[in-house]
Amino acid sequence: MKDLAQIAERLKRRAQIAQQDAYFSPDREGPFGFARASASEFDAAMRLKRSLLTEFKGAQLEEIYQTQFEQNEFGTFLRITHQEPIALTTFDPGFAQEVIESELKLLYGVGPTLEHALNARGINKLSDLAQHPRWGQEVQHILDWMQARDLKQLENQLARWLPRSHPTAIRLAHFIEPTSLVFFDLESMGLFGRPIILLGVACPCGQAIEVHQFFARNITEELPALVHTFEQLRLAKAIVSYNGRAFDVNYIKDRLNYYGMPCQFEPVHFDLLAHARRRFREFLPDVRLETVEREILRKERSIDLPSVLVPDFYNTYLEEQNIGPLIPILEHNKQDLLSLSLLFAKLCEP
Amino acid sequence: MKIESLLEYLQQLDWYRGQIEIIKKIPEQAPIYAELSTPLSIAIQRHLDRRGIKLYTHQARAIELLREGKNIILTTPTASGKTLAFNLPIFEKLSKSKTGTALYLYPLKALANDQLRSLQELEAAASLNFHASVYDGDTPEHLRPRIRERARIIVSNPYAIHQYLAWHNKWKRFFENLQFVVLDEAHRYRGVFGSNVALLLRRLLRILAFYGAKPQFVLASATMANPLEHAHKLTGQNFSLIAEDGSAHGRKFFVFWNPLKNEAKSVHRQSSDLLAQHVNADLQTLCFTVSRKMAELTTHWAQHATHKTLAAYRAGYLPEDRRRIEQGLKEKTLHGVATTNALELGVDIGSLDSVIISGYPGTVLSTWQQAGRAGRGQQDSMVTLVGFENPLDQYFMRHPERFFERPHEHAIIDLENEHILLAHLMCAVAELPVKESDEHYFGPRGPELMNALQAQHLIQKTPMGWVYRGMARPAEIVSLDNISAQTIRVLCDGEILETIEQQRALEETHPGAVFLHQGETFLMESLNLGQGIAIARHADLDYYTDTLKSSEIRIRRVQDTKSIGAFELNVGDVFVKEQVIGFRVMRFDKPLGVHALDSPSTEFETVALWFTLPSSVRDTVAKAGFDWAGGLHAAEHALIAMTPYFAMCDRWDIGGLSTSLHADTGTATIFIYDGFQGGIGIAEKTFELFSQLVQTTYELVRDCPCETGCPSCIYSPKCGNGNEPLDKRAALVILSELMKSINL
Repeated sequence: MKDLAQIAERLKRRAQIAQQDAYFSPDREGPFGFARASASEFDAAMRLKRSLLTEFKGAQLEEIYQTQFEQNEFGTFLRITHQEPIALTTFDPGFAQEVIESELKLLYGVGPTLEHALNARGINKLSDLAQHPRWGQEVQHILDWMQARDLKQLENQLARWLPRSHPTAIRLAHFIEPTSLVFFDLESMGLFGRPIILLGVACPCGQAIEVHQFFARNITEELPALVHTFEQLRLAKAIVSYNGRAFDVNYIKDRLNYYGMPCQFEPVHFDLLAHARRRFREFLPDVRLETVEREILRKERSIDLPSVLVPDFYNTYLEEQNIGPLIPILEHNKQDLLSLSLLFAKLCEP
Repeated sequence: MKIESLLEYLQQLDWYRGQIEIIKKIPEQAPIYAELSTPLSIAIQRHLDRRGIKLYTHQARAIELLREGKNIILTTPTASGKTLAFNLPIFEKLSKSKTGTALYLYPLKALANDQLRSLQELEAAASLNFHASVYDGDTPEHLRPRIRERARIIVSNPYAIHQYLAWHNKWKRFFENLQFVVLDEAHRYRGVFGSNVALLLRRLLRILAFYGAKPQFVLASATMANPLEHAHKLTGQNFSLIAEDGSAHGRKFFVFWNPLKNEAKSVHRQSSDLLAQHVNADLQTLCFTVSRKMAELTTHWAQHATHKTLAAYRAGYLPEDRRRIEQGLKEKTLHGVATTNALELGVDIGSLDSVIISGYPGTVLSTWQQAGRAGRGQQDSMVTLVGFENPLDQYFMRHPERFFERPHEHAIIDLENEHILLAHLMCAVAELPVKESDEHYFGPRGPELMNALQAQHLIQKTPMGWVYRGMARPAEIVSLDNISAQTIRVLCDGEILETIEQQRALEETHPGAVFLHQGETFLMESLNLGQGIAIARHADLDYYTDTLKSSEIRIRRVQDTKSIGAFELNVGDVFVKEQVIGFRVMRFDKPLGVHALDSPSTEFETVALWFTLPSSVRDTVAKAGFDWAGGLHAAEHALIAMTPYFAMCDRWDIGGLSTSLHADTGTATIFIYDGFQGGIGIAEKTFELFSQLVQTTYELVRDCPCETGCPSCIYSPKCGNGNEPLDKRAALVILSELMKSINL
């Protein structure tokens, strides 16, 4: 038995070394949103962790946040709720209709040159072509989809002819009442193949935004939290994320797959990364959410934790059974969600 | 005729001193054809007819057995049409459905493209389109999704599968429909690599079961002593063996050339001269050498003695250059090529008239693989084995008949090594939660192993089964080439020469050591255990180094015991403590100087075989006036030298210790242990085959013509005591006493 313990310990050490290599490895480009930490950031984070461990020794999450135990057929997990007075006023179907109607490029074979020529002939709106022998039918489809608010069809049509980052694509959001939107961001133990520990969703409701964080206090709680979040995302008319198309949504699917629960999920999805990149690339050194938040939204975070150190902090929480290191993870996730909603509002502005 | 006159000519050369130990004539075989119970599809049959192919008995049998749903292992010789034997039934089965798939695995990435070509040829000929594709680390990212979505035959390697299993969902279509797993060159899956692959296949099977697939296995392998056992251990499945060869071949002249008969001419010079004589006699010849450097020197020397076109071939040449040489061999514009074992397997160069094997390649199996390069259709061919000054080389020179007997070599796979088990369990857990019903994939110790991983917070039991808790991706930290212990990278000019286990690194890569890599010498500059890096530099040196070390063995658990007369033989777990205390600089077996080293002592647990010697043997040795300790030591060396003859491994993989008084046994004892953490099955196999090992070791020592011991019998290149003391005559007494007890 002693041998097995030693061998397993050696494996763990290798895993730790590989993980630490990933923090600093100079030859590995940090993927977007999971940027590597510099040595000074790392040291600062470790100091932060130590002080949090002292500050929160013996404390419970329930004493600090509004929490609630949730349960479903796969087990339990913790819900942490925050409210922030942010009012989203993006609902404006008329405007959405107008923008899309003026986008002749949504038709088969219409590029910028032809669009220009059509405009010159006084054709500025899709409905002007409703009777056109070549485009009439396609125009009718688009008008019907708008009538029926079939956003998935519209999103597909837009994606077919326009880049994802095209401003018209985000105008689609004006069709949706904010209460039907879900903002979404997750925190994980690494890049793919490793557990998700925190799933955050933000739901606008009137004059405020409610942030719900579904937290796995240990790996057993990952699946119930995942399933719960997944249901919420499914019910939304659209989801809003930052790099969620490449990362968060795939990650959730991957984890469900891992548990042997394959799923189909193709939501209407506003991934703000593409839009932010198009709008701000020229003014910013990079388009990480933190940077956009600081430079464009003019917000400064009091404490922040580089994403790459989330696993380390979470492991410390588990090992020490001390919630201290969780605080910056929860705050970081909440802050990302709130910034996401502000950025969304900004990008939607006419 | 050409061959016979060459043989006569060789014996009249002015440097001939009776080097030919034997000329074994292997008679020709007429083809033995067989009919199938149900004919092949018309398209496939037409393709065979067009190419004049009729099915041999072993091919027909492979087809019938695979049609019946059996797993098969084919061990017929090189060039007997093995690939066709399994491709035909696989194509037949795949063509009967719209979705069935097959996975072909090759031990080396380099072999995939040649195989792909033959698969594509067959696809074209049979008017079938399975989109056969290679999918491995070299496959461009943008082609991958399409291959996963539509290819029905994928050619890959175990290293790639090891990485892809975690993404099994992307392979859903391919896995769900998987009907065949082909493992070609299956004899290569042995030792550490083989044991890792065996567990990788358990992981693959578990994922396949999740998708409802249960494929048939097809193994193709060189001849070995334990094909069925090997196939079973490798895959966990039961197999039918197809060993009888129905293919046609011409006469083969197998010559054993012992260069030690003429000590005035170096062994390498003799090989290069032989190469020149062969090509001069109009025989297209391939000469296998033990190192890259020798491949080049042999070509260079031989070129002085012939006007025919020669070339050297080795890994490390540019692909274009290699293709040109392969083409030259196929088109017969090249008459002779000296090569490393890079040309031993897979690469398509057609068949040649003759092969010279300069230095026993370590296994009988490899020797036959290399020999298989000679023999074009039903024409005569010739193979020459040039034996070096090593125990196994010289054993075969003196006992050529042993070479032609049925195979003695066992491929070993250890499914119980805890290092390997835990590493792969961790990978498996990260691929798909492991349920209790899955534990059987990993042997009887599942729960105990799982608990060990859980205690380190690597995995955790949940209602969904055992799940991976995070940290690094397991497949990234588990290597198929090593036991999951610490490994050292040997770097030269910033490039990795080799990755070796720490244990070996301490002995071979300490500062000042002459490190041998593919026959080239490097001088070691530094060894940093903490960083896992040893730095070497190129250096053409005419000396070598010998490590001096102290070893200690403690017995921890006896697994099995048997008495051989008054000798007692055991196998079990031991604890080995080794410390490198210095090294000797040697030139031509003469020590030039001794240097002390201050290295840490290492301890590792492994499996050993040991036997105790009764005092009666000691008395016999003493009465004859021989040295007891020298006898034990010499017997230990000789036994280790012969072990690879039974349990396929490198002699460097085995350690030994002999002592006239051991603390745990209380008497004289000889230990032979696995050099790998946790053991890799060598000791167990040796325990099983001990009497045969003693028999051949006795013959080795008895028949070596030296007086007091030499590198061909009792000297060990790895000895930690500088080959002292050694007493050959005392060893002979010990071995003959053992023989007597065995035969009683």
